[in-house]
Amino acid sequence: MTTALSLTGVTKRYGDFIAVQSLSFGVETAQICGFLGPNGAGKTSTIRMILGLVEPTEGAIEVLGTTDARKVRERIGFLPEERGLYKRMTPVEAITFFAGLKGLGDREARRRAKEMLEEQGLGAAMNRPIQDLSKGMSQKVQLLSAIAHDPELVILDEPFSGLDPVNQQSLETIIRDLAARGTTVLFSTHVMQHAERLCDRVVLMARGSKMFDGDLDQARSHAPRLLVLEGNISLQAVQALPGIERVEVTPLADQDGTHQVQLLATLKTSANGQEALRAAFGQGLDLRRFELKEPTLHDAFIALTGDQI
Amino acid sequence: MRRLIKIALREYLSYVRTVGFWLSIAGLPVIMGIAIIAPTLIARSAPAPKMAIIDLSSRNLTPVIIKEFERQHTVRVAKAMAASATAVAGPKAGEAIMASFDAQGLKAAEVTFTSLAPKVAGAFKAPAPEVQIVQVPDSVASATSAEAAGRALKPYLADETSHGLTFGAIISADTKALSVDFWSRNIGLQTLDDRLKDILRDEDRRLRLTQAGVSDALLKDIDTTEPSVRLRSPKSEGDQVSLRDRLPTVIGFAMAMSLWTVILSGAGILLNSVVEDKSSRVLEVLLASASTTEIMGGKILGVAAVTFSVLVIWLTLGTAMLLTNAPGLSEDLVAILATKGLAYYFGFYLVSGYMMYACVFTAIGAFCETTREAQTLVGPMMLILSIPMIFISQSITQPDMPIIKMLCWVPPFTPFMMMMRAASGPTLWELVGTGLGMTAFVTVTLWLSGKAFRAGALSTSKLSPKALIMGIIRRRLKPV
Repeated sequence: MTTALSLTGVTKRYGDFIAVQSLSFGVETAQICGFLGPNGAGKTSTIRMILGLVEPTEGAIEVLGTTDARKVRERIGFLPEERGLYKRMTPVEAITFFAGLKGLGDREARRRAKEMLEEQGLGAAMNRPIQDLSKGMSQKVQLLSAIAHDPELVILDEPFSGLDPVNQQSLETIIRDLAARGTTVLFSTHVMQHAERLCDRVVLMARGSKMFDGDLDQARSHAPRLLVLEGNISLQAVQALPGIERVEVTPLADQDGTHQVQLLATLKTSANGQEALRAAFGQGLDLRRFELKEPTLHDAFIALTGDQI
Repeated sequence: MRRLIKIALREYLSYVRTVGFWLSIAGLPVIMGIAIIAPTLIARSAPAPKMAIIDLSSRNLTPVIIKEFERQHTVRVAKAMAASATAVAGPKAGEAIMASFDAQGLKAAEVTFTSLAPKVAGAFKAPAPEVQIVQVPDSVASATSAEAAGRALKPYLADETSHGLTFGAIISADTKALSVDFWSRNIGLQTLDDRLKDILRDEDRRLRLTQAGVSDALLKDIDTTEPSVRLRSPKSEGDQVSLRDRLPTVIGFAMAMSLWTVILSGAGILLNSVVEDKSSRVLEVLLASASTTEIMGGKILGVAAVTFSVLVIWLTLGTAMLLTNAPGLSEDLVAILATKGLAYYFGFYLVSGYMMYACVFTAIGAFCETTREAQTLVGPMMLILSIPMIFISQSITQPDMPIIKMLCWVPPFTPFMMMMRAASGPTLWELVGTGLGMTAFVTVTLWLSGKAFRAGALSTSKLSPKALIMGIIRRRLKPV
């Protein structure tokens, strides 16, 4: 595996404001890396530094084997957070133009534009002005403009924002296809579900600093696992189960004259949920529901940063 | 360079493909054509005004007035013939016609006109008389005082039919001087009272001199032997200053005005283009695909090509019109453009002036999200840019005024002011000095604008002069 992108101790200051602080991470070739964090976490500033649009105040960035991304522009595809296309151009013209800027010949760019538009179900709209297309269609055209030249590294800044579920699904497929063809993909998002479905690894950012860098399982391991128990049970009985760290109680509506509650039990890091289940049955607890909830990336982010996204 | 060309081509096509572009191309010649034809159309559509002369002076002045208006009409006809001949056969033909007229009258001028420009002479239509002097209505003629004549005249002035009068001149005389009550149908009409005053003053002088014993022959001799005034200048090509000598200044003026219009139009188009790209976020996409220099250069080149296309189309149309309607002038124009080097000056000042303003306007555009924001900053700039226009219009008669020379050394004004001065033969030092100053200024502007453009293109803040200056100096971007 070769490294397509690496950042070492990258800091970006704007006067007194620190947008990014001592950021280091790397992305291997053909990996899909999620660059996650809430608005203002420093994602866009980092992406701009990676692209060479902004110089870092400190640190080093290596992109596709060079320290200046501007030298390898033609090998990078970029989708900015705020979409921008010439509204009077047709999709074919727009893709041809941007692919042309990335070094693709006019004829080849046009051929590829038509092919990609057909593949994405935009064949009927390929010669209509972009201003006449729906938002979802325009965003798809913009994405195709960013990848038509078959880049080695694709950087997508909030690619899912504003897309309906169908188009989000379609975009996920495109990203998976890119990685399958050997393209490295770095995409920023604040929607963790996309990252969970797509990423080989994630970089979690908050307030300009990296909070986590690793694969999804490693990320999730930072969040506590939970047991959901419902029934006519007491807090003390649940607290006594093996591996339970703490318990929160929520009263439920009584059924058949019995007092029903829901208990959310946090497991200790080393604990096994199965032991707690066995113990509960062993003690004859009156349970209606027993569920082991694996943590999500969102839970991991909260656990790591203490922030909500 | 490939990317720069691609951006330029896209920019060019985005304008050339619009209907508005072609409408504006066609619009200017149409408006100019209307402006040229309008005075003739107005003159032809209105009949010559009718004037009645009520002479209560007992000096029989009516025939004198009629004769003088007729003489003045022949001068206008001769000048019209000279203008037509100048257009097709050059300034010398026009001068020959006027010389024939001065020496031997209208008939001789017609002969010269026919010989020098037979085609236009055949189709020539003399201008209508300035005024038609008509018989005085009986009711007015019978009046014995100016007041009574005025009262009787009023109804005829109120009648706007073809039988009505436009003017009525009631001439009376006291013991010493003549007096005129000049009545006009409308207050706003251009009246002939001053002309009438001159005619009557000359006639009064003639009468008094005759009464004092000066013979008619001597008076006629005095009138016909007017002083001969020849305008000479060391800058004149011939013996006297001719229309051809004056043409370079007129052409220089026209070129300076064209330069200002073309440069500012181009810079304005660029500003809008960058603002549009900034507001639609295309600029950020472009920045990830090309360098700042390539984007700026491409945009500037693309709009320059648009402006150049407009210029070429208008020049072609203008040349075609000139060759069709005034072939006599075209030879002189070409000679002046070539010998005085005005065409080269125009090319140099067009390129340097456009670069200077295009860079500044592009940088401003990069900081603006809306056209309104852009106008806020460009407004004061346009006020400053109107300064050359004020002085250019003043300098057509005196292009060597010290203030004009001084303004030539202010780099933002150099292209326009020097274009105006170029026709009057500035010194080599002035040409080289102002040229170098402007080139240095353009270089600095390019450098600063490049930095500002880069800073502005990625900024997300509202435009403020402080942000603009800080962006240029620090090249820092706002966090996002």
